[in-house]
Amino acid sequence: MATLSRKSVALLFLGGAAIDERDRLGDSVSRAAHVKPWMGRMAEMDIIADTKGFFIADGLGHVGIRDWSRAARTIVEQYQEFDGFVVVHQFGTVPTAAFALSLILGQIGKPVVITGSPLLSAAERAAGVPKLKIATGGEFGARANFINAVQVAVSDVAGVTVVYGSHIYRGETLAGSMTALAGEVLGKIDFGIRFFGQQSKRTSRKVQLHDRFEEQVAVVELLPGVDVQRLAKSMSRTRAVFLSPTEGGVHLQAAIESLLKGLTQKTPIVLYQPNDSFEPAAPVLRVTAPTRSTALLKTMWVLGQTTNLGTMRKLLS
Amino acid sequence: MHVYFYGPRTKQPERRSAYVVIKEALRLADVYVSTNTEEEEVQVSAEVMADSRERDVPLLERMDAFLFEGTTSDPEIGFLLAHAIALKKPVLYLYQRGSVPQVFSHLSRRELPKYINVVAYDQASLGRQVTEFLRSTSGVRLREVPRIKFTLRITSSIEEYLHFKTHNTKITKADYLRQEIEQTMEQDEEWQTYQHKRRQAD
Repeated sequence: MATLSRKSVALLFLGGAAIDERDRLGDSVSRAAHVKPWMGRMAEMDIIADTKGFFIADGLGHVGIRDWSRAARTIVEQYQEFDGFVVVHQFGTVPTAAFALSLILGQIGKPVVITGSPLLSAAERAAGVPKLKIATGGEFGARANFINAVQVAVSDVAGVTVVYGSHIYRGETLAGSMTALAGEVLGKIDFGIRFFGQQSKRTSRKVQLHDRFEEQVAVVELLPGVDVQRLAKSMSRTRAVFLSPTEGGVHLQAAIESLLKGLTQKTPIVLYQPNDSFEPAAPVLRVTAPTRSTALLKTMWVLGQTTNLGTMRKLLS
Repeated sequence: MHVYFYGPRTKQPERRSAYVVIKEALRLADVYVSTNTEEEEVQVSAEVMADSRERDVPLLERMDAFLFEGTTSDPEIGFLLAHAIALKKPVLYLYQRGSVPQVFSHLSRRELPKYINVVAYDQASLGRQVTEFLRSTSGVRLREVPRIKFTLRITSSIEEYLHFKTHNTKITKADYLRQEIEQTMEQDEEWQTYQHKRRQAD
């Protein structure tokens, strides 16, 4: 009889693990001690691969750069031990996490699959984690996400992907919230996992970690009536200004000039304006990303990688 | 009733003829059969297809039972079996007599639920085993396919009530009525006793 080699998958927990809202031991993971009982409840995943859990964060509060960085470091440390990685993540922030991990892990040669449960544990409810109203869901919807994620993690795919419902998305392209997810679809789940052919394949290249983010970035919303020059003067410790006009009627060029006059040092200004053809003059840089929050993440990441304006411009586009 | 039958692609004549026998038994049982064997075939009701698309759920979540020919190791079977266990759906896992299915070595006996039937087959017993499995699932609540057209005249207040109950939900008025009747059937002890006696007589 033919015997196939057994694959192994690491599961990293950052909230979003609830498989039942009754809150028995093992129904969710908000402490390291919950990982083992949870894995016991999801024993069906072991039919697909050998699985091992790693607790990263409880997902009860704001999940952000530091948590994603810790998750990425765990992936790098465990890279040789596992065939693939599943990141179980606080549900509402899955798209942003996917974008951040895509930046941090770059051209990773193994799959990193992000998913989460739309159910909320008692701890999550008490912490005020928002409950999203979605059509897919219930106990099985949550379990199915985890099973599908493990199956994708043993497939011939590389890079950061998001598995949700019946779709597999490329992580860095996601826009919208989990209630209306949009992005590049790499494959579909029906009676099995079917990729459409656009996915990156596994490679043996070494994994590299790029987890430096510049957090001293001022986010400026250009609204009519705001004295931009005066605002700029208060930004003495800022390493960059992230500019995003949210309303029409703002004279962008004039606002940028006022901002430049107010800034005391040569601070890069990064403009996010997805639906406008306005071409800013130097030293303003333009950032492209699926959403405003991912544009800000990308800006912080680029500033963490380089201080050279030319390289910044290249990385931001 | 919707059944998914999975058998790994094979050139072995014995296995291929086993697939034919399984599919024939399923055809005679008058169930919707989706399968990967021979050529991929998806046979589901329009209602199930529409629901799957609307709610963005894989079709496999809408299956009522699963059948696997699992004589040889196959990664797809592990994936489907994991889903069947999560869905708590009845499974008939068939393997050729004399072989050992590897897939269960990764689950302890305690973790293998009662609704997973692991059965060794030979060519002579195969059709009967499939039929018996389908019959045994009658104790499990299955999502039957509504095939019988039934026209019902209702009053405007009933119509108003149905609108009230289904407005802003994902279910249709017909679905709502079907669910209510099924619930009444489930709670009707007299009907349940009658059904039990009838099954025993069969």
